[in-house]
Amino acid sequence: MSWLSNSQPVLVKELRGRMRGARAFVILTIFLLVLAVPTTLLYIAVASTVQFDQFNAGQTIGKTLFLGIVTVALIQVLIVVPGQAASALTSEKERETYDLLISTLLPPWKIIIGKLLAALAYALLLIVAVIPFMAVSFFFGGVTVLEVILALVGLVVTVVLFGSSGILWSVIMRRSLAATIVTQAVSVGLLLGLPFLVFVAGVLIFRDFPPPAWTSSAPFVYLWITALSLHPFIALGASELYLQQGETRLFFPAGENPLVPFVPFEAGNGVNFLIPHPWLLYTLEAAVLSTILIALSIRLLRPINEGPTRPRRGKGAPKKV
Amino acid sequence: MAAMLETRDLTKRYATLTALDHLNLSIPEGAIYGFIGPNGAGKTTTMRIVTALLKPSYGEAWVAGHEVSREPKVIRKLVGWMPDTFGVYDNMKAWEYLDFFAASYGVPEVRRRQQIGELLDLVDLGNKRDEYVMGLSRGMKQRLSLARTMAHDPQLLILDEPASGLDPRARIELRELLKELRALGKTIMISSHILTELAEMCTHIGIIEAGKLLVTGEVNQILASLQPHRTIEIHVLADAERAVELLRHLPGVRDVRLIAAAPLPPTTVPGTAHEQIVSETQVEVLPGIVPRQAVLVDYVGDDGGLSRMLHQLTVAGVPVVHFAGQVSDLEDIFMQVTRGVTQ
Repeated sequence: MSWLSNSQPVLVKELRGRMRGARAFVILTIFLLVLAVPTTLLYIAVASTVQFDQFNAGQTIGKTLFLGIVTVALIQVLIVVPGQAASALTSEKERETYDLLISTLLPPWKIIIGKLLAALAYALLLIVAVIPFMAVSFFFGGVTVLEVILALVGLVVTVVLFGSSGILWSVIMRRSLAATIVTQAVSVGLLLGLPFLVFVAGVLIFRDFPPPAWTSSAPFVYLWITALSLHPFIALGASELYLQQGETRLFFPAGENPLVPFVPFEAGNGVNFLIPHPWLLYTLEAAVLSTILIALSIRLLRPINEGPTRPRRGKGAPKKV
Repeated sequence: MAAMLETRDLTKRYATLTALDHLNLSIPEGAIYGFIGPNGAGKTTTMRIVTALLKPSYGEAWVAGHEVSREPKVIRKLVGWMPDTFGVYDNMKAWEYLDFFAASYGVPEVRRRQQIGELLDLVDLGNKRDEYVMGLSRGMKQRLSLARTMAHDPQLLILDEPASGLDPRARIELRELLKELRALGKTIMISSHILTELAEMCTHIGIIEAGKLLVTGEVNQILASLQPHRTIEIHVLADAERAVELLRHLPGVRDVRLIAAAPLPPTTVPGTAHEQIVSETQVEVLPGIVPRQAVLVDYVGDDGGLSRMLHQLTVAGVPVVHFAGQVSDLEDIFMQVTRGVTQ
């Protein structure tokens, strides 16, 4: 703890603040309850439909439970983490500790990383809490260790990406509410807007049959899968489908691609090139984007330029100059 | 004495407004500098520039010889800043609050452990070490904030309205604390609206209005420079008119004014079982106490002349009971140099 408080006082302070009191455990309890309800319902539903297929019943139940748990956990993490991160610096501004913080000798990168790590630490607590739920699916079988690892990697990567987005908006905005709304709007924009755009583009590009030859070219395929893999649900969902097809390689030839809608390339086109597994691509993209968001946050972290303010309606006297 | 803080033509403009207009001030090492001005005068802007939180539009500021804009990191080591608001962290104890800021200033943990106790003792909060900051009274929070300001042992303390919102006891405690800090060798720049308080502890003052520094320097020098003459207040028990006539003809006397009944100082009533202190309002009902009359004399001259003045009055049989020079305070200076301009 000593080295941590010396090297990352912001993280230590945040952890003390977040983990103390009932709030952290109330959120964790709600998180687990929300996870438990659909898991139970899913189990009841799947168990009742697989009764007649005694041979694979356990595997089907295990796989369905696993995917259900990961999906619900991913949704919850996407709701909780950006919100937590979005108030990381706005809360300092609201408590009027922001200037005190940045007038210390802490460099901006330490403040931003400390805030991000604190948000991530809390998210990791939530993710770790999911692991026992995942273990339930192991009782039924059908879930490989690789799938579990990829699910956890996917959750962590998602948390880092959306947490970084929250931190950036927290640096830019002055109020936690505004920062949270903008962060969630950006998240929803990505989660809903991206599939919509890809769908529209797909309809326009692939309306003719056979599709134009350039749609099987490497640049287009890379662009297409890069766009699709930016979406955590699509990327991780596609990864699961590839794993079910037995494709576990990090990179594989486009010609051997079993998931044509994801990679619009069919064998027999003469040209062949390697494409990355969707989870790998998602991880890389998220890493690059997170780095950009964090770098921007560090760059934008500066004192509030407190100029003379016009009195707002109903807000009382103007600020001092 | 070397200047701990110096500004040269410090200017800050916001669109159409000039918040600071060529501010030139100098605070010597070890001084307590009272920075006085109405709301919107530019005090906080000056302080934020000096703490490297705000960039000036023009001009320069030096702290201990380091230019603020060019060496912000050095400045942060040298300056301890206490804003006019107390930022509270949720769920944080008093010692954790200090520990966090000390760590943020790079104080090693071994040193912090010892330092936190010393700082809490210095601000008389040693018994509140494990109390949550949110639960402390406003006065305690201000003292804790002052301890935070000291966490990295800065040479210059910049305190923006530290006494605002404090009750009289907390103000007195804060004032005593600042005197202690000065005794420890700290230079202090303090802004306040409570001028009487500043007068009691400041060695130097600067009065700012509408972004312009109207006057700056040692308190005594400013008082002397703003007063072309001394005003002597004389209380007599009778013969006030005769005293006025007599005084008018004395050398060095510029003006003599007879004013209404002079206020009585608290006194004791002899002959009572317990010689109790009585106030002015009680005098009327107490037998044997004669109301005073006051005469104000504007005088230019030395102390010898004053001595002769008192002698003349006594020789003439004027019953003098009080003879003293009026003391001008910061309020007088403030009212004299400012024009009530706000921006």
